[in-house]
Amino acid sequence: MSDDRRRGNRTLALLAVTIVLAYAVPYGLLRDQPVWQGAFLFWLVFGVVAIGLIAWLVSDWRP
Amino acid sequence: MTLGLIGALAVYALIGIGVAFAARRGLGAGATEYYLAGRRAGGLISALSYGATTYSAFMMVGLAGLTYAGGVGALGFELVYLAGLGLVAIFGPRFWLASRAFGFITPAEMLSHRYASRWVGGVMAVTACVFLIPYSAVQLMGIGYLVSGLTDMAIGFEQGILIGAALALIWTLAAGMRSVLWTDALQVVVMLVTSLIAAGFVIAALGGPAAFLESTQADHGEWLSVPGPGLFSLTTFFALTVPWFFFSISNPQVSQRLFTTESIGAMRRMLLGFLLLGFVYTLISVVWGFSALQLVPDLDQPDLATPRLLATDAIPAPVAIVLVVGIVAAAVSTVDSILLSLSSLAARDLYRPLAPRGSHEMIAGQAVILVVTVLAVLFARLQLDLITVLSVAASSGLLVTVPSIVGCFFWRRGTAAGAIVSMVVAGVTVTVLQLTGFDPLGIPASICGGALAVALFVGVSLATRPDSARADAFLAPVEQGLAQHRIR
Repeated sequence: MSDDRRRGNRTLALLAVTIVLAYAVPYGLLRDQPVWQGAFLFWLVFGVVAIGLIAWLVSDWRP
Repeated sequence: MTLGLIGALAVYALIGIGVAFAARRGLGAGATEYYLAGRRAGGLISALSYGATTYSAFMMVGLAGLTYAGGVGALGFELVYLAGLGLVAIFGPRFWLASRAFGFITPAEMLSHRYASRWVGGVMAVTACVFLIPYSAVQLMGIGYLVSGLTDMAIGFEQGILIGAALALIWTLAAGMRSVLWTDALQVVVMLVTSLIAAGFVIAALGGPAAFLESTQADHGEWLSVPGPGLFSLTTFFALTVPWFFFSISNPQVSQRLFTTESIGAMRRMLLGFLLLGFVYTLISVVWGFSALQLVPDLDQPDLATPRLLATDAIPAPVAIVLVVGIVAAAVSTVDSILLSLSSLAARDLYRPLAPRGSHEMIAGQAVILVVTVLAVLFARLQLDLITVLSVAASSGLLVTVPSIVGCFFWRRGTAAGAIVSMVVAGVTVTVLQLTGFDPLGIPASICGGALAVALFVGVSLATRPDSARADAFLAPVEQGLAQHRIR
């Protein structure tokens, strides 16, 4: 397996884990936390991380 | 307010019509030109248009209403959808390479070719029509309610519907995908700028960002948590997010955009540009919903949060007027893309197989645009609950096409029978479940439909004989292109 392919697979796996966390953390660890620093902040960070991972995933494309 | 809104809508319509007809210059002949803008769309305009198509009146009305009713779960729901754009990183180049190699114009055509059966594309085209016509009707209804409510019926509900439908129709017919791309780019700027200005005013009315954060937490702390006030249980969150996660490949009006970019580089710019735009617009809509909680509390119908907020003193009349124009733009830009996509599906995947010479294919496609517009207007005028149910069911209904789309590229063993049975049986099942409101074993209809589609696609494919030669011939140029562009 080439390095590019391995990196791509790793990024996809990270994206998948991030998406699972978008369900698990707000409904688990942060459940019933009535503050901005709870689910709101977590989902904001999740959005930024997910966008970053997608950008990383496509950065290798050679048009 | 009334005169101002009528004037603003007239200016918006005239500028849009001017842009749409300007897009006719350089329009070539043929289906590829009309439906895919000659496969020459640049990255920036594609990103803007993708945003305008995806984000409808739902954002500043529906998502704001969801935030009003259920709190922060609305943010999670919309951002999980955005993370689903990772699917474009996987499927985008594959769609693009296959369409270049075989000349596909619609995603349904691609499925018909891959599974070596016209029926597969035909079923997909019908599925798209069943779910997307009511979805368009609801957009038109949104325009009707908003405009009639804010002009004290000076513009009536039906007139509002007709204005929205006429604009979508003209902008689609003017130059096909070219006019849709150009007017979408204009409209998404209107949507974003107007919503940003309006959100700024409501935050200012609440004493500025710090005071807004503080008062929301103090007075509506429950809305900042999940499950929160009750709407966003984990089950509901799953039911909403799973179909929307797959939206980018299940909805033809957006998946078809993967055929239109001029290069893989333009597709990358489209994806990244849209992600940025989507993140900002999501935040604005959710903040708008939280602001409504404080400025217009205790509404029985959360969907009224935006109209009621616009009627308060917090927002100067000119700002309210431009925001309404922005919401109308969001709805029209979604409807025109759906019209064009359904037209191409009907012409290429339903009409052409019946009239193989395809001599009147373009006329048939344009006739379909007219028919679909009329149907959407008629549906909207009826104001039936059924339409709302079907439109809500749209993303769940189209989810049943996902196993066949995934199998197209990732499972050589997939067969035409598997694709057809999964789409038909799961599509009918999910519609019945949505209409009856019955959740088997407490599992939401959307999840049931998706799971059933996967099971049927795999089961029926394994029980039938695959066309391995066709799968190999289909995948060969795709795999070659992926290696060439260093795409995993």
